[in-house]
Amino acid sequence: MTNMDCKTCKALLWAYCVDDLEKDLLAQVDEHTACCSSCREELDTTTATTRFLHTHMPLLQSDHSFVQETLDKITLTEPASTLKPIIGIILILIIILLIGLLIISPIFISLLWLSANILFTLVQQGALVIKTAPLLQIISGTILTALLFIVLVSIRRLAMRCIA
Amino acid sequence: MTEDLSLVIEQAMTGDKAAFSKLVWRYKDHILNIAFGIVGNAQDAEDIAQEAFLKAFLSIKRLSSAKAFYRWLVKITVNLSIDKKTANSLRWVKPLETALPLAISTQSPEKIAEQREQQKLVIAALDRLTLEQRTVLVLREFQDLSYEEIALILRIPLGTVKSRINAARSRLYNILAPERL
Ligand SMILES: [Zn+2]
Repeated sequence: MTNMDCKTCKALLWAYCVDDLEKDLLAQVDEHTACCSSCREELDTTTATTRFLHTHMPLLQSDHSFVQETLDKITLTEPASTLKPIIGIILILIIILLIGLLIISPIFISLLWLSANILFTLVQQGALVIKTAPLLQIISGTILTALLFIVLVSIRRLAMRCIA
Repeated sequence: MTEDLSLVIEQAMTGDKAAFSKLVWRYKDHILNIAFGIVGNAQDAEDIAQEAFLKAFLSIKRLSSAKAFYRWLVKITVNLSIDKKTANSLRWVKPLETALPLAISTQSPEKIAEQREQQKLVIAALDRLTLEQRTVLVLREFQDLSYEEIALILRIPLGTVKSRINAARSRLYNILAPERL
């Protein structure tokens, strides 16, 4: 007779049926069910239940069309996801470039004068705009130079990659 | 994992679509049946499996090693399935009849009808488990994943995996055994 009691044995029966028990426990269940009719009876029911479950659990099988549809979906999303960031970065660079060019161009001063005059007549803050204009131009000049440098480096790197 | 498979996964990790399509062929039925086991609907399972592969392809470059691929793919599938099942539980769901996979047409109509009834019984029994119990049961009982792998996939302690599987089995026994006898 084993040390295993009926409660422990019954709790292990499902795992016993689906071969999910460690060797020593398996041996103990074997030993217990050999001499306990109540657990043996429950073992029969459990065997039938696990067999029923595994036999009648629907098993899906996908075919070629599943793979094709999956790959089609991948193709549809793939270029968008790799192109989007690049397009975004290029757009931002172009916008910065345009704003920078506008600021350092000669028209900017006349535009500034115009807006300063409007502001001056409206809220009497025109002087502030005129005072900050040189600072704005220095900042824009620096940003533009940096941008030009980045663009040149990127072009060089791209060219190197193309050659390689 | 075989060397060939590791190589294919590594190629897919560089964004190689041809290599990734080999992985879709290799794992499609596993992934489809994990999703089906959790949601219990063939059409939903197919949608989830396709979405899982799509998600995997888009983020495969972030994968740390080829070894982790299958576990990672299962994790994506399980998460999508749990989301779908939760969403389904909040709205009206199609009757079971349309949720089962198509039967093999070579069998007699009586045999098919009987088989359908038994399949419905199994799906209905799974539906009476909690979502946590059902998920671990599907991974262990039908997909044969180890307890350790399940713990890693679901990020829960090993003890919790074991107790959930035991609870699920005991509940299934109580539901299915009397109904069959
Ligand atoms: Zn006993």
